[in-house]
Amino acid sequence: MRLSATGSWPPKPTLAVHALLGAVLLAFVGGCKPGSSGSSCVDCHDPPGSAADVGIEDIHPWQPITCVGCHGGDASENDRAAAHLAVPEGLTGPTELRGFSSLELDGVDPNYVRWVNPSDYRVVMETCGQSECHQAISETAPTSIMTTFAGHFNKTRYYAGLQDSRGAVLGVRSQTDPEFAADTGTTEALSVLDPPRLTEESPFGDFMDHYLEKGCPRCHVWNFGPNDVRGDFRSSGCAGCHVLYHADGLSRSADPQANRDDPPHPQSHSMTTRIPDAQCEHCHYRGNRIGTMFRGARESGRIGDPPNPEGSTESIHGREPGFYLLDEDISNLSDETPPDLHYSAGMGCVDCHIGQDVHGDGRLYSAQDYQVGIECEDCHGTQEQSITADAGGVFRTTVGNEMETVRLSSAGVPELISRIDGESHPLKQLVDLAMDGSNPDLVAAHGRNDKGFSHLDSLECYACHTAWTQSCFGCHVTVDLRNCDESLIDGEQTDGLASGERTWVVLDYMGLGIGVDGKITPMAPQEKMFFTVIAPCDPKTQTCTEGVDSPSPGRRIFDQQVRITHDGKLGMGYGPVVPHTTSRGSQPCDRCHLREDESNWDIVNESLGRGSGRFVIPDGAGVQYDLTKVVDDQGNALVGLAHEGTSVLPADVAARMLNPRVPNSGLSLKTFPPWVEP
Amino acid sequence: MSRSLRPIPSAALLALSWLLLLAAAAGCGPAADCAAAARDPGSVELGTGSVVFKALAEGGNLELIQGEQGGIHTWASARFTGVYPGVWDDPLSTYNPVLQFTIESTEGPLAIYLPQRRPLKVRSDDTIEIVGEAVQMLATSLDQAAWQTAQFTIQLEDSCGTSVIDSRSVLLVPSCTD
Repeated sequence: MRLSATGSWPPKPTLAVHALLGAVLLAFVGGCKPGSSGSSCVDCHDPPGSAADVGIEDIHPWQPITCVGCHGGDASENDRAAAHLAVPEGLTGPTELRGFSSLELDGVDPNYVRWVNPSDYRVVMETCGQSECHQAISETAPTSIMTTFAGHFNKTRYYAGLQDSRGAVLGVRSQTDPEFAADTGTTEALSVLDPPRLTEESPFGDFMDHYLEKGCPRCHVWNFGPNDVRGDFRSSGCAGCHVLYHADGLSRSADPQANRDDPPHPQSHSMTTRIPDAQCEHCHYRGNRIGTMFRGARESGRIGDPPNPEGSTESIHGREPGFYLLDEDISNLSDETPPDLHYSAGMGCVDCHIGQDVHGDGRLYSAQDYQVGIECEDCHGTQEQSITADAGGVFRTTVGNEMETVRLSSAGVPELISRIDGESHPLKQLVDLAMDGSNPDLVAAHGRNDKGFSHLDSLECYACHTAWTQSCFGCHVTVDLRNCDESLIDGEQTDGLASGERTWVVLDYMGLGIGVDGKITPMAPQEKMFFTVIAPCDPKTQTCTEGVDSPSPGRRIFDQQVRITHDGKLGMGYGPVVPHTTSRGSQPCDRCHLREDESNWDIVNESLGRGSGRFVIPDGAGVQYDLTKVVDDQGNALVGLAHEGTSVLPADVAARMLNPRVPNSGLSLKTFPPWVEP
Repeated sequence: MSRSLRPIPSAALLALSWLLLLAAAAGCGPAADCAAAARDPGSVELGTGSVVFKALAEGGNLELIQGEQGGIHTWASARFTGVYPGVWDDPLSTYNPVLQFTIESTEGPLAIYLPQRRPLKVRSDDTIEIVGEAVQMLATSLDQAAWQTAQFTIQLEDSCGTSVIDSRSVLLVPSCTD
């Protein structure tokens, strides 16, 4: 068709016009692309002449790299088998690696590991970590706590008296820090847990290590993880975070060769720094449940669960639909477990946790608390001072990480540009709060009294600005020698099945202690464990107590045994926690201070660690334990604290907290049914 | 009288052509899929497996998983024909079929999986399946849950009104039973 200089526009719809418009529509829907780059990889994965929406995604569009430069293989070969790396003898293919334990993966030809995931830390220095690329991060990330998993081994073994040090000893890989400087929370060397092979005569400690071996190391980037349940699919190394996986583990790639039917496959052949929270939650739904709490979800506990909740709609993280509760009561208009206010504002995990927080700094940390450096003050300043850029115009965190996404807005106020969606988030500064007395509660909370005291000097912000937190009480762990399970360390299927069961899931517990920064912080009940070992039982010669009518009766060789640390404390953990349910409002004053009528002793006793009697459980010998009690009558710690630099509230601090009298907010502690042995 | 061919399509024919083209580009929605599905009376094969579908024989063992943090569950999976699968990427779609699993002994229910809308995956070979649904057992220990004979059942009703059911007798066993 030719437009006439005298013709009208739009032209009358002739058949030719329709044909052209139809062709344009089809081209838009289908598209087409120019010819090949000459690589045989492209011939199959992005065929020349195929539609524009067909073809493998460019994983690194910022800087040209080649398929072979990352994965290896031979791009000059046109035959699939010759172009691809051969599957090593004894392996079935790439999918098998994605369920390997860390030691199993250590044993695979590194070239094949690179073929499957070029960013795996075993090979990363040959790929992402080449000089002039991502060398610095590739050198430190393999020492990160997300790689070593040291914190998980460390706490459990300390509580059980298996190590006298509060510094980490074990990890999922052996490593040494040549620049170890004995800073608090760091350790010089880590070695791999030697998986114990159990017999009925094994010492108690071996059963504890067995529990660690089989129950815990799912979530580190030194391997791909088990990749065995929806919600947990992911990769290893850099790709563990930077290559996104859908909860179903299925590919949405336009690569015509991609398997879109079976997990685990990435959503597409793409990397990103705009990492959505769902990616973090592939791992961070356990431990302190940060990932789920951040979005306002908590686990149901079955005992004392609300009657009218809004439950999750999917089977995720190995849980049935409905297990995660998004709202306690759908019959009212309030959300009793709201998301973190940063989540509600549209921010994500990666808007705060950058640099050293996630990539480490080359040190070997004993727990994440020491590696993670972001503080509320880094964005919101102090009561005396707004945040300021350094001489180079860069805003930095307390530990010196550059906050690339924080800048001064055109109005001259600090703002954060979200990595998730590029939206601007003005950073409210404490110094701008109205302290003129128009809000007496704000003055009491943030101000400085005539004796020079300010809460802000000695409390973490989230000691008050936490809406709720999920805590679990009554941790009954069992190692059952009648059953077997696969080791998450070496992949061997061996005797012994480790499992746990908590009695109560609680939303309104908030103990206090001194955290790693020396400030008063919320403390979580950690592994307040009653440990049982069940061995096979011969009913003809032994007294069987478990499954007596089953084909495999058992007997307890350790019965709900509590643990003792090396220095004689109860191994019922008490550790700092950042709940990630930040709220604009704060916890009421009578959470920590007495009311005029002293009607809240139960609440205050729980906050100070003196015990409320809400959660009481006997051990196998019948000795009763109040699980909220962590100090004796003199304020001395009854329990071990596995984090270096942390403690229960000092007695003088607790005593001072009892002095001011505060109004009654109406706060009361929820009551739960008592524990009954199953 | 013979009809003569007109060299230029009418406006109505053109409009119809556009509608067909747009329909092809946009997809036809569940109504068309219901019509297609109606040609198949619908069927379901109940299975197990957390990541891939595993067939389950009548009288076979159904593995129980001891959760690391409490609870006993098993994995339910199924393959279908002749049902409308719903919208895979939208778990809240009202076009998703309503799915229910039950595990019962002669004494009553042994597990919880209430009826709920769940999308089904259409594989590249057109197999329709759902894999890795956690079905929570009511028992609180393997000793309570294992070594019972139970009836394991799936029921599904799709948004076209097609209902399918499959059931088989299974022996509930711990996961590493040889």
